[in-house]
Amino acid sequence: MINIQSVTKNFTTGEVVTKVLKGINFEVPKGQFMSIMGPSGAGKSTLLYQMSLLDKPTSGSVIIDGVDVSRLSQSEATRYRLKNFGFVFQDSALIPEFTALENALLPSLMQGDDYAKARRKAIKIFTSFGMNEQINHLPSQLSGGEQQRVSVIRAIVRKPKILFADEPTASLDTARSHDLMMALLELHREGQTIIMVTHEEEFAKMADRMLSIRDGRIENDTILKK
Amino acid sequence: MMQNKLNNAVLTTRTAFFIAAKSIRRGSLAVKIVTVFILLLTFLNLLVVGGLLNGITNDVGAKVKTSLSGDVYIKPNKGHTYIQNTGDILSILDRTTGVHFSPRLTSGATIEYGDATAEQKPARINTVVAGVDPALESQVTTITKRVVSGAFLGADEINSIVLGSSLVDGYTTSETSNGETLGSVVVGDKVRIRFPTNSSPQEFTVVGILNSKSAVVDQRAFINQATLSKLLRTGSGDYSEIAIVAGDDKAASALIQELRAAPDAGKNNVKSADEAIPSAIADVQKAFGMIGNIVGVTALLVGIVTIFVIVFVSASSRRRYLGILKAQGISAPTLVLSYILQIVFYVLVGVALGLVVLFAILQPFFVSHPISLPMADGQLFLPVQYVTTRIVILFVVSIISAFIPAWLIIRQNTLDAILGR
Repeated sequence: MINIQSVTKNFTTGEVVTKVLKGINFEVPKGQFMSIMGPSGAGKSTLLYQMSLLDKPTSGSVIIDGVDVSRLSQSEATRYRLKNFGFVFQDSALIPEFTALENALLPSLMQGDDYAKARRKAIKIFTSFGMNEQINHLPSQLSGGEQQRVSVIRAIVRKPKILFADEPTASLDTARSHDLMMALLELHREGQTIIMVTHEEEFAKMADRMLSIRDGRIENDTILKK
Repeated sequence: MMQNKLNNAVLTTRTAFFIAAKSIRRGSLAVKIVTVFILLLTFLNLLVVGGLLNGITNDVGAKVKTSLSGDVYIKPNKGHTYIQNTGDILSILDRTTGVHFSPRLTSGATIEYGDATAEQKPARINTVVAGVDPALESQVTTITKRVVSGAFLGADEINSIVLGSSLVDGYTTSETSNGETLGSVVVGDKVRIRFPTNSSPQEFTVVGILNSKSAVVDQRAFINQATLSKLLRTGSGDYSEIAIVAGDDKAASALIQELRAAPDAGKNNVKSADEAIPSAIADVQKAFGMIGNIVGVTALLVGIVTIFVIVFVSASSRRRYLGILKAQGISAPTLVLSYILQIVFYVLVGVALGLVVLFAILQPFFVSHPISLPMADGQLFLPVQYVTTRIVILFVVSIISAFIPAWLIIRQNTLDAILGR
């Protein structure tokens, strides 16, 4: 369970203070697929960063399973992310010298799995994504869609509590965007909690719930599926 | 708690090793070559110039030892013309096994060459004349073998003299302290020696010219000890110096201790071979050591800056990837350590190549082509401790110069790194 309580975020440039989030409150139950929608500059990505501990809110709290994680230090937050979160970013950002498999198993190694175990776990997911052939390919040898799928595999290989996706389809064409959304829906069907920021309504509506943000405030909170 | 920290350290190291290994294996070949090449040059710069200067100073010291002092060198202390209590000293030397010694008599003198004419005076030089026993001398020093023209003194040659190469023209570029020589003296020529205690000049025939490459020795003239003793009217047991060969350093130390404990030892100056090096030469050795260190530090600075720039550029260009890895939970120390491990690998390769270049190419080259200087033959002198110290310095400095830029980039805010802010 994620509980967002009165979260605000201000950015200060010189003497100018920009209030990006203006008191956000909501809860995400375990296993929910929630999309966050909104126009550019609405604050949706900023909200995702506060929830995923990549940034600290100016005020308010992010409580996950009863723990206020917004108070964690930087190194504690890194450890927390390793154990509990997976990330998919706008572009895949795979390490160019690492093969698809190596990119995917790196977080597992850091978490304590030995190489053989991390490899086994990663290959299993590559197989379920139909990407067995590409495990030894370098990112430069993969298409954009394949790269983004590898970044999803990297995010879920440790079975995170929450998968955060920040505009995961932004750099993909329609067909590949659909493929990626199908992959995320499949993960959700298996019980994965997913919080996805997107500006594409079509994909936002594939989630269980759609949170619309405008000018730093929740405009609509719509349950799409029960 | 402790166990947790240990586990974290193991995970950090293992993951860093994984990242470093992959980065090295698949990183840009050009960057790898440049990095290794720079580290190789830094390593060679750290060792070659210093090693050559060491080789020169070492050879200067060795030449003083093999041509003048031996392992132990006894001189009278200030206020005494001759060594005191020679009876006890010679008795210690006689009963110590494996010891050879050459007692010498020395005196300041003026040597003249050529006849006075209306146009010019004879060439004249003030120097030290040493009276030696050629048989004993040959057991202690190599000067009897360092004759470059003619031959060394025979045991019974009363009026023969061997001149050091610095006293004559044509054998060396080193000079006497005032830059004067006797001129173009050749074997067979006659020279006259005037001693302060004996105003009438004595004529000697030059039988040999000696070039030991030790400035002190090459500025001396040598005659038979019996002749000099007679001219100076010294008594039996009056010696100005005793050069002793003890066999090895341990035996030399033991002998020095024994000699220093002998009766009236305070009146004599018992020196080791190192202590016997004349202060001017010791100053040159210190200066050479300093020059070697300055060159080494300069090389090290260039290496540090280069490693810093390479790591800084590499980490800066990967700032976003590093941010993504941190977002995934890869800790900052893991990423910093991965950079350090990469540099450690490149230093290892650079040092390994450097050792090959040093010991398989440069050292054999300088053995067969030593740098010929008036006072020594310059070779690469690279004692194990000297090399290992510099390897350790290079590793430590490289690690620091990789750590700083990596830490500067990696410690930046994760989100800023991801968003490229």
